[in-house]
Amino acid sequence: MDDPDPLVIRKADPAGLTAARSKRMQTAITTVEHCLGLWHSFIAAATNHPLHIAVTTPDDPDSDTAPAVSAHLDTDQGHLHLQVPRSLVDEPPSRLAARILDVVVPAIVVHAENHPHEQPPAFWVSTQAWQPPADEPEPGIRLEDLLDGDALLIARHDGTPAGADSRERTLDDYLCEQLESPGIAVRDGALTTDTTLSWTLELLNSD
Amino acid sequence: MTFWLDPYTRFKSLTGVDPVLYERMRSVSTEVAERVTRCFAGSAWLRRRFPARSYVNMRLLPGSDATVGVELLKTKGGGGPNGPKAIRCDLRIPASWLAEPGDGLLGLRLFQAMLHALHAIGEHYVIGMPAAVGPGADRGDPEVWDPFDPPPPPLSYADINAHLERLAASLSPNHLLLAVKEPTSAAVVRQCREVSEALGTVVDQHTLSAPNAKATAWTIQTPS
Repeated sequence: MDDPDPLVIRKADPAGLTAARSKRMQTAITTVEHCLGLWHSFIAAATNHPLHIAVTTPDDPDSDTAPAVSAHLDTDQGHLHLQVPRSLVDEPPSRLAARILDVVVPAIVVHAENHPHEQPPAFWVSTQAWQPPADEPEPGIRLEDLLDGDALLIARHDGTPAGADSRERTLDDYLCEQLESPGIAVRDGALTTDTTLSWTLELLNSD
Repeated sequence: MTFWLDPYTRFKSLTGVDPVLYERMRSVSTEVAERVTRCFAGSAWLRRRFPARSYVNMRLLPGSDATVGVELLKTKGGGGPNGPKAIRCDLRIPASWLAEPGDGLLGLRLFQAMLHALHAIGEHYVIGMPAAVGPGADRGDPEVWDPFDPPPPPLSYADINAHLERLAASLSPNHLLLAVKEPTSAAVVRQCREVSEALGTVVDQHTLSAPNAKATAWTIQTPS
């Protein structure tokens, strides 16, 4: 399914802004875009009616109330007009961006409620039948179980329980002496199969 | 990205909500909290009043109310006056949200509800709202997961394991095999060389490949 971009923010109109304010405004918008980008798949899943956001920076209203970002939503047209009073543009862009998010998020919710996706998708996991994990992991060497920074050391034995035992004891002593005492690596788990012995080695940083 | 927001969803029995719907809220709120965490500089915000590593513990409680409600609870935290605190709040959300199909709208509504709760915390503790985080501040955080898409197939090591078994079966009694997953960091490569040199002499190197996984192994000849 090729959904159009669910959310488009037009560049703020720099008319009437000083260069410094225009730059701060643009940084704030970039931050808002970045944050909303994290919600892209949620927005696309909630509505397939795109929303275009325009930002203008009018003069501060002549009133005693603190200046605030205001939003005018035309949900049928898919237009959201944000008005950022000019004095707010003097705030740090990360603060201004938070203020813009405060009004944009409720507007997106209203828009999605008015224009819900006809077949709203669910999370992938909830649409799939649950599959039980494989009964028992395959015996033997399983490199996938190795953590980053670990290595697997493998040796062969003669195939008899006594042979495996004696080889394991000899090698345990050898690894202890050559790797653990000098602080190169430590053994972290051992496994014996019909023909092999293996050790998980945690590699130690020698720096 | 620092942890600062914990959506606490372990109160299934308390809410009396259908367990299936509660599970849905749990999985969606996890993804929502992950994104809220990235959207806001929450640690710096909490530092205006609380010790380092403090976090918001948000208990999501679906109920019969039609609107979102926030109730702040006593903060909790051990470790003395400078230990991290849990700033606790109950976030009541309409259970009717959970009955509507589609996880997109539910996620956006939970986002809005969490913003509401952050405001309530900011007002109560006089710390305002956290600043939004721009694109420059990611510091190499992994990309967010798209929960609407299938996850990438798990790496398959079956071929590599079989190859290692064959190599192991052909080892001489004085040989050892050292194996690591690729890609390896420079540090791991260096550490493997140290291990090999401590155990003996490398006499062979093997590159093992599977359709979407890779590994390297070295045959080491030991002195005895």
